[in-house]
Amino acid sequence: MRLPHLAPTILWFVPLALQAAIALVMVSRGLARVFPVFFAYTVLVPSRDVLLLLFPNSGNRYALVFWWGDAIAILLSLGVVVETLRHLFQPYPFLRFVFRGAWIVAVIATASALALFHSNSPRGADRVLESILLMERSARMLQVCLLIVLILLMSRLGLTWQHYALGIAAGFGIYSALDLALLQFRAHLHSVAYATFALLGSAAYNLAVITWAFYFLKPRDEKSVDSLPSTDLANWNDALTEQVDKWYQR
Amino acid sequence: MVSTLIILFASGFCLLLVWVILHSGLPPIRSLGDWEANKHEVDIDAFRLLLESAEEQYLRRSLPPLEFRVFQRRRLKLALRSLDLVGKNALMLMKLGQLAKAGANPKLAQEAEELIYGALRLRVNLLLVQPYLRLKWLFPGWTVSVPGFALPYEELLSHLNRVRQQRRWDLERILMAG
Repeated sequence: MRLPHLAPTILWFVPLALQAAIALVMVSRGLARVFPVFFAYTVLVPSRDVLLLLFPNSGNRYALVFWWGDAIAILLSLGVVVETLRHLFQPYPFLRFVFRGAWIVAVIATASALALFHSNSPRGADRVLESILLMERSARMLQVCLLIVLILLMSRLGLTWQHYALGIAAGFGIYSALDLALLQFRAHLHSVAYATFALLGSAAYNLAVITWAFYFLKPRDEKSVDSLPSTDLANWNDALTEQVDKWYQR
Repeated sequence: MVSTLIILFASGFCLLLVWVILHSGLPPIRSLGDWEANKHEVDIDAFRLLLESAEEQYLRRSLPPLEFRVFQRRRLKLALRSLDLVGKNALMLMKLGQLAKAGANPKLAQEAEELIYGALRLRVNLLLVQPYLRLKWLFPGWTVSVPGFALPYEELLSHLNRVRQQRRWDLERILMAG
């Protein structure tokens, strides 16, 4: 098999195999109940790819499965971000303001995404395909904005020890950011040929799946700790609260 | 063109953040020994002195304006460095708390819960204090209070205390039951 054919085959097969393995590990570790939307996404995408093998490339059924599958995958990937936010912050009800902030960002990002969609009405020969790319780009823009909020909060509040949530956010962060940039180059700047666009998009997805596989398939070798140190956290919290009281008007 | 720039900026920023959370620069914490070996010793009294209002007023009165700004910036830089180290300590303690919670000992799990809440509260406090100190570093003579943060902060602290109390009762019930 020559290299131009080998690369797409590898890029098609690697996520298929890895996602099947991730789904199995999620079921065996009881994580399918903890992250049901991510589990659905992990099952849906490879299932669609296998299903597409059954139809001829140029047929209507192929297009139907491909585009509907794509639309559902994008909706699920948006749902995964909300699910991860909920998983991270639900144990801490005092961080409820985080949700309020995330919703504000979501509303602003949706408005920006819709504005982008309207300001770039398709003009090329294939209007349907361009419309789909524009819609996909708008949804990705929304996802990237939500992921920025999620990752920023994880980083600032130090919630990165939440192993699986970190892996999910990092994987989607890589894929969404690269896919959004590619969609922009393809749909707006017309600077990427379709074959290159498909190959690079697939490579970006492979990176995301490898990130998820790293977090989900790695054996958990963490030992539990049998005692805790005494700390001066309370004193530091008092010192910082004094400063907050002094600087911020009540 | 503007939309292209916004989209490429958002993509680049998202990738940068992924890089930041995957490379936190913190040493791996797997045991109490790791914490003891990697924790940062920060003097809380020295920190308090660096941000003492009376001290600031004294320096303002005693030094020419230019010198005051240089000196005040040095003090603020030291305070920010202290907070950076304390923040790193809090991250390591959260990881340690999570490892302790994973064990089978319910009493230790209760202590771990307290530890995680304390560290998380510290991180929230840092979210408020660090930006203010950076502003003060930019404008060393600034003495204005920042409005608008009162409600979320007080709400947050009262929620924190309620949840911590509730968790303590739950764990005590479990301990008493068996």
